[in-house]
Amino acid sequence: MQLRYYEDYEVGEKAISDTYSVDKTELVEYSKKWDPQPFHVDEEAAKASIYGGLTAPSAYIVAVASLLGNTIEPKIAALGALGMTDMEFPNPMRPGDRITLMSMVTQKRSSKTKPDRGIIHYVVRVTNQNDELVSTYRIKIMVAKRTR
Amino acid sequence: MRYFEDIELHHKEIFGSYSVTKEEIIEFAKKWDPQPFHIDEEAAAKSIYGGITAPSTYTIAVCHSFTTYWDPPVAWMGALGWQDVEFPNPVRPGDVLSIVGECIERRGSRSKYDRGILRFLIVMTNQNGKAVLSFKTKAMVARNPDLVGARTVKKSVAEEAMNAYFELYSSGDYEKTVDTYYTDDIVFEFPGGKYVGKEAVLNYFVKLHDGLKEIMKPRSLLIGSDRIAAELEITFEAEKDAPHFLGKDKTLKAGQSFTAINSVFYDIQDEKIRHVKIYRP
Repeated sequence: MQLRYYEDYEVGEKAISDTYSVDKTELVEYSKKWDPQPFHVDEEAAKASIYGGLTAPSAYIVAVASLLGNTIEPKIAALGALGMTDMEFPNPMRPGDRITLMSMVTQKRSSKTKPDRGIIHYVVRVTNQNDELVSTYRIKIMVAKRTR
Repeated sequence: MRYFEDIELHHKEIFGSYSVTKEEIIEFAKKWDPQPFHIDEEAAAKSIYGGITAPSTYTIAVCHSFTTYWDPPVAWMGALGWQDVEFPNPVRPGDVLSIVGECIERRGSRSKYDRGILRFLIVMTNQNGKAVLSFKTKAMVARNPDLVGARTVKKSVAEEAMNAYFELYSSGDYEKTVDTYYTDDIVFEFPGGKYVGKEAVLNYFVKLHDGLKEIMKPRSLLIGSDRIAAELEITFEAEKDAPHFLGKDKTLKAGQSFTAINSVFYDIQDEKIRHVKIYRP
């Protein structure tokens, strides 16, 4: 498997993921396990809610974003996520939505304590089929260096 | 059920405990974040973590599963955003996780009366007291519908009463209008005229409408606690010639009609109108 390492990334570079179709059954199953609010699991209750229909829990949106991030090729030699911030959910994610993720490298730096890795900062935009923003956030990912 | 009003600043909520299994981590990671160090024990043993660790999305999911366990439950309306999401230590199979959430900010929604916005600092720790996740989350929470309802009902009653007032006035029964809707010390004001007291106002109405029918239709109503603002469409229909009605020497002839838009303020006292002030464009 071809991997991209810390050295291979440049500030300003952009990447676009595959598209993920949000399946109602999957969304409801996920919500039942992890966030069983009525407007995530019960179609009738969701219709009566301020959203007018089923919507995805924020944790599910983040999971979809993670899945989409993993579809970007060549794959990143990630060692783990350090943190996220400025995370917003401007529009709900709904069953049937076709979701795409776009990322841009905003910063990179070598680890101060571990010479075998660096930290890459991204700004991420998650959009639906109508180009509406479903989520946006910044994320810091620890990435292995090629020269170890 | 707990509403926005029920959760005070610095209120703390403690939840526990969630037992993490290897099978659950691997199953979750295979679907949402299939990195080798999440799904493959051999690869994980050789990784910087020395064993299977949970994806950050799993850690977040576990944390959110606790929102259900608020007791009594909270009337959540949805998440607005997260800040400073950090994963200081990895989550591993066998971990037992618990959470402390503290309300660090609360305010009413600026645009929607039925809800408020609460911000929480959430810290999830493992069995050794080490933090595995910390973040700040901003959530919409419904206000108590009984309290919201009181205001909504009062508002709709005022709207209904005003519509009944416009209807009665437009029927031409000025005596009943003045008697039903105005206070004894009513002040009726418009550019170039001012009448004080029920009798003076009624005399003015009767004189004004000699041979003229006036229909008042509200275009919009803005209802406050003691003041109502209205934009009214007013139509005068002449049953006989009304000299000077449209200005000096300009007669509104029998059968003709004239429509204008007025802005009117009503001061309300004890559910009656105490002051009418009319602005003409």
